[in-house]
Amino acid sequence: MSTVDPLLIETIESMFGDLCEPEKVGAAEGGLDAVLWNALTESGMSTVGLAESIGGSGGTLHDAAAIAKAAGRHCAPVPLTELSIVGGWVCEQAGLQLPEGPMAVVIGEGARTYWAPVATAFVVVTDAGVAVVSSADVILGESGRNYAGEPWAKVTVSAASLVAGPSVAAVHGRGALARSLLMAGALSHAADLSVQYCNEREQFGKPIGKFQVLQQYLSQMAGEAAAAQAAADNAVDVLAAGADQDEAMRVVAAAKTVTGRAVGIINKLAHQIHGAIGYTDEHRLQYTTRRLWSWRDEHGAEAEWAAALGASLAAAGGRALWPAITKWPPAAVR
Amino acid sequence: MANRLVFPDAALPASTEAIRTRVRAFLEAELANGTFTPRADTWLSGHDPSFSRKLGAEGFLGLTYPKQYGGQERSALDRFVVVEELLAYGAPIAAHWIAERQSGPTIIKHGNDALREELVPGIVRGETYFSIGMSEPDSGSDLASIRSTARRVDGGWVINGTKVWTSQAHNNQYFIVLVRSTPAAEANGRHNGMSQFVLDLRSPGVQIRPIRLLSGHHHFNEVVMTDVFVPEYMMLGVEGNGWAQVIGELAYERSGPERILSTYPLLAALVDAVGPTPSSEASAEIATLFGRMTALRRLCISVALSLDAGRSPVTEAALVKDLGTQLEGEIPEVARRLVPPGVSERFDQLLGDSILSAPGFTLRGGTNEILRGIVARELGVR
Repeated sequence: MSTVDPLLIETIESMFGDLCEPEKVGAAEGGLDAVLWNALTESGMSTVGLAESIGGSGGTLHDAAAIAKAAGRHCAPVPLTELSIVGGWVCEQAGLQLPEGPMAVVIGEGARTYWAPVATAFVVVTDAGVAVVSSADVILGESGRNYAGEPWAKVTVSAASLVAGPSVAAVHGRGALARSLLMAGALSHAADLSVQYCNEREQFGKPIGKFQVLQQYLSQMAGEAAAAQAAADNAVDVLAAGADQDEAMRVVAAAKTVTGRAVGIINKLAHQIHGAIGYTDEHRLQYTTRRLWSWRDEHGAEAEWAAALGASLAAAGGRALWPAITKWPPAAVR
Repeated sequence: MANRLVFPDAALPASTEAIRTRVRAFLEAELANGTFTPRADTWLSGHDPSFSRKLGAEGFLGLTYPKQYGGQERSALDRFVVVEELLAYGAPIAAHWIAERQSGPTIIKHGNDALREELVPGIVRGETYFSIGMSEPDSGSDLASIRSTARRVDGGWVINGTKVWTSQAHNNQYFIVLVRSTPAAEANGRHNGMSQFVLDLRSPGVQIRPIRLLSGHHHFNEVVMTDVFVPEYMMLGVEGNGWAQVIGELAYERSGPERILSTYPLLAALVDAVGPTPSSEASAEIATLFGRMTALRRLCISVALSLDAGRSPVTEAALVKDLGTQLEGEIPEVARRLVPPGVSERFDQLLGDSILSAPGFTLRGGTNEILRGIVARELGVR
């Protein structure tokens, strides 16, 4: 089933709408917004899509994806998808109970672990297996923030008892899926803000949306946002239908490539439309565009994913290309 | 939220898999027989009546039409699948293309019984071909400014005027013309007073002159109509309602897979031309095209599902056409960057066809700039 309950969308939209006002998003930079995190945890929204048997809220990947897109749209300053899409999925696959508290996912050694400085639970993914550890079992090294002030750190794990679980590559892919979903939501928000600004801002005695060149920009943005959303949705549909590892890699690669590419186009046009005010820190557009510039680089930029996808397509040859295209989205069984 | 565009879920029904398997097997067999060589942009340029008749005989045309006229009353999604397979294989489908896509459905919707019985079965058999008679020398994007006229006479109408960019008029038997049946000055508003007629291109008074493209190819024509008589029963729909009838066709015309796949055969050839282990830069460029194509195909399917459900996703179709035709044009740009001339004759031919036909992709069926204006209005720009 790919249909998401409208009530779920309404609930999460209202929660984010109340708790993600621009001032709160700005104030949370460098950390997370504890009020929002608690609201998501207490309502069970942070673990929608994860099995009840490991302490999740139940529901489907489509439900979790809808919440992730909403989080992206609202610039939710919390590590939601580290839990709902990435780390929680690792736990589910490995049969581990979900730990309490904000989660970060340590994928391989020496990589940046997003949200590590504010996490209390760590999912550790290595070539030898996976584990869940607490902050007592990790040492944070070099740290920093992405362009949007979301923190990261390099993590050394001092103690962990590993169990069999998803591979490093698979979890990296899951991270790329999470960023694709967040970007899909944020891209549509950047496009929506631009429409709004075109109607509000007046120059030469009329709303700037009256100028054809800006109408052309808005339409282009809507198009790129729709394509990005479609790429992310394809990934969700294909993964939900139970793709094998190669197919999962391909569809996530396509999603990360298309959404990441759209960031360059949409951010540029959104800022051009908003003029000078849009690149001040007092305008809320920047909360969206800074996240987009960050997310397109996290869990593999377009170059990495597109090269891997292209290598796979080239190895299969030209005759295999069309069957690959028509496999997505999977046909609906009626 | 400001964005009012809607792309609901986009999974084709599993029932379409059967016809996909059948049409793919047919195309593989035809390829093996050498009936056709894959080319780019074949829905405009690949005029091959014998291939169209073969498709008709196989039951691949008029799938959605009423059984009464030779159709199969299948879903529009079955047709979507057949059409995208034909396009992807680069099969020659221009002869029946316009007739099967829009003239047949228009006649079924707006024509009278006599006209339906006379023309629709031939379309389904792949024997009766149509062109589009909309644009005029002074009316391109501004279609409502057309000047061709229809004047009522005994038993029918007399039509005068000139139509341009009339694809394959020199090879097809009919076109559907949009003309003024009430002079603009007397019509109540510029969108009123227009009517649609089926016009036999072999009628006395019809002159067809080639308009050659920069490639040297002859697909387009200028059709001059001088006192051409059209019998009454060949009027479509209601006198004066031509504009609304034409607008209703646009979602069908703009959202089909032909708006993303015109250069697909080149993309497939490109994958072979770069070999099994290309550089990571070449891989990335190909994957980007592939990724965008799979995303846009999803949007295309979504529009097809909306149409099938009885909605009228005119704006969504415009948006998909804008994105899809840009992608069609980028495929040859990437291909030429990655593969030098002379590597393979087949690749060179597909590349040349694609480069030289690319200017048309973002013009035909409504320029992308006009389409973006439509999208912007729907986005709520006031």
